[in-house]
Amino acid sequence: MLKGGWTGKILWIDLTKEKSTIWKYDPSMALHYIGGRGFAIRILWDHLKPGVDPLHPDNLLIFAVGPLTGFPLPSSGKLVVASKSPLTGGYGDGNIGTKASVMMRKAGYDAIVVEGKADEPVYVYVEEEDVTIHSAKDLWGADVREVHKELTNKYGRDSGILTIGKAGENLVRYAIVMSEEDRAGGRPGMAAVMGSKNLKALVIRGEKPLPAVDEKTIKELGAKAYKDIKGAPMYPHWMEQGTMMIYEWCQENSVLPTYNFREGFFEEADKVTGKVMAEQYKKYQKGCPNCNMPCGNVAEAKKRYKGTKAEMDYENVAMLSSNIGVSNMDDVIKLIREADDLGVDTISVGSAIAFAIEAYKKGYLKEDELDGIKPDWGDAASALDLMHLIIERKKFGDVLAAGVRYASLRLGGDTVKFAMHVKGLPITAYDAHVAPGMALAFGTSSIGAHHKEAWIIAWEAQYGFEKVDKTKVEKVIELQRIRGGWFETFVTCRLPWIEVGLSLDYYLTFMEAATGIKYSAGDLNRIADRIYTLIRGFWIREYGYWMRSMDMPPMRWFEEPLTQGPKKGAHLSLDAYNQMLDTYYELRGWDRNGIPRRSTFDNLGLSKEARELEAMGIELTP
Amino acid sequence: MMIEVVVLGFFQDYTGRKNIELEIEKPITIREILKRISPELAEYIESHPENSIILVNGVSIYNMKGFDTRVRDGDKISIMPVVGGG
Ligand code: SF4
Repeated sequence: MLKGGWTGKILWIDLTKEKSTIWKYDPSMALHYIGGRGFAIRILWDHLKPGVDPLHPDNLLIFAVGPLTGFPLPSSGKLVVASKSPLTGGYGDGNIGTKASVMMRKAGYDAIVVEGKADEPVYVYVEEEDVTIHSAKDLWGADVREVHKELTNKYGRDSGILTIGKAGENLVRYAIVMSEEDRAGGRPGMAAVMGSKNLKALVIRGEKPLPAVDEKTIKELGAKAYKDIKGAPMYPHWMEQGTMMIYEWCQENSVLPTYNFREGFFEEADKVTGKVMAEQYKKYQKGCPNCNMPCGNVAEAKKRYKGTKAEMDYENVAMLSSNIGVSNMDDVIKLIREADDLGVDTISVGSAIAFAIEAYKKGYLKEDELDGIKPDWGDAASALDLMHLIIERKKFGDVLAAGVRYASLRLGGDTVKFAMHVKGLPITAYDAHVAPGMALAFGTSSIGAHHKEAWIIAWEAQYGFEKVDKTKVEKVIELQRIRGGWFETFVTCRLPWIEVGLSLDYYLTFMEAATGIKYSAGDLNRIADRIYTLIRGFWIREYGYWMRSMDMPPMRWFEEPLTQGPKKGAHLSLDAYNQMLDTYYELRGWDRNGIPRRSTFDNLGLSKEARELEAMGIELTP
Repeated sequence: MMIEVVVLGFFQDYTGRKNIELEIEKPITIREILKRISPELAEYIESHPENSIILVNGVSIYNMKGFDTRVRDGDKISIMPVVGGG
């Protein structure tokens, strides 16, 4: 039996049947998968029919918290949203900082699963055991801020609200779930899945106490951890710039994505740095629940878009500045605001715009296919038009709305080399011409190219970008375990640890105090490995096959050396990458094609899943 | 002889600026350079080596002689914290 940490209950909502049930799940799921993405992959494996179209009503949309979510400990206001991804066709998830995470806990659930499809636009209101479905016809078409305002007025400021914008309604495959106006999560199209279910929003409220075995320890240790964070040497700088502090760092190291990842050095980077943002544009900062190091820096435009405000995170800013050649802060603010209002992933839409500019300039796309838009590097107005073309799915915008992988397959030729994605998910804001470790992190991330699992780049700079050895591969796996395993299952924010150096030891004690179970670091790593292998199994199950080329970054980084900046001439080596990938597979117990070995499945307690794959005709190496 | 030093992130709180040009008479070590630009920064970095990245012409001193790495005329030194961003 579960003593604390978990509520043991999952709310299952069927929109087709308009009914909900409370599922008291088998506690072994909690013990072996912790929560968050662990629950998500377990539920998808067990309850999703293989091969389902991600936008079909049968796909499952999962919102999951973990045993540490919502407690008075650092940055615990996060939740995971997961589904089979309409962008990649594989496992997709994202985490989002929102009151909805705390409210889900207070409503008494460890997860909420949505299946089916409503006949008409609806939103769902969950207040503990009361679950009601309401018409959202009036909200359909409304932007994220309006919906948030409307539902906040109706249900109160402390309600947890998750919503989609127009991008989700129009099934743009990288529509993202939004909360509190500019918090976003679920890059691989989780909001398109919501849209496909006619689900505009989910509102959650509750007043139940959070279950803990030893509340006193959580409180006391939590207070100490908050103090450690405030006392960290990095703290003041973090508070000033948040993630934007890395902008100039990336430029200095030639890893700032520039012109669709063609370069790692942007000649106008000086105008967009964290310092410029903090000193000239920042208005205030906001954060997720229970966080004392809020990183949502809200900046306000001064000239062209005077009064427009947007949250400036490094990823958003880099993908909508240097990567499309834009250096005017006003323009960047406007592009981010627009993307957030429409509920589209800033990273993927930045990637799609950059891809379209390059394809157009190289003659793969004609003006009329772009509805008269003539995109160019540094031209923010045409970038904005392209964004709308994509969201409205007009002309070639319809193709771009399915992501750069699909667009490049449609256009053919060399476009495949500059469609900057892995497994269909666009690469986040680190150019890896000089960074083989970061390239491997993108190549092997479990949802497609994303930095959230192995953000190795700072470590790699110190260790030596030029090195390609086993230590570096081991580091990728270590980070995947902690970032992609521990934090994505606890579910809390990893930033107190990674940004200001809060000790990981805290979390082991927090886990024990919450659940009464003593997990060692080794136990948690093993759980993370189980999750990674099951996620890989899910991709293989859904694709029906696997090849190592699916774990490769785009050819651009190998074949087109940098032409600008101090690292001019640098590029990745294919041999070196392959060597690292072999080592990676070996360390993970996967075969040379990236398919987990039969023995690896067995060792992780996944024999049944291995047999299911074998029954599908997938050959597993012993 | 001139060397160029670039200081990033909160390390600038110690130096007050980003770009520093240093006049040196003979090749000197990174340790000496740190002391010259800011003794407090030198102390911080030496007591938290895991929190800093120091590059000489783009190569980490970790792969040279660490703080004993010698720099010469025309070298570019980058000194930065192990920053966050994700
Ligand atoms: S550090 Fe940023 S992302 Fe993490 S909980 Fe705080 S505000 Fe949210």
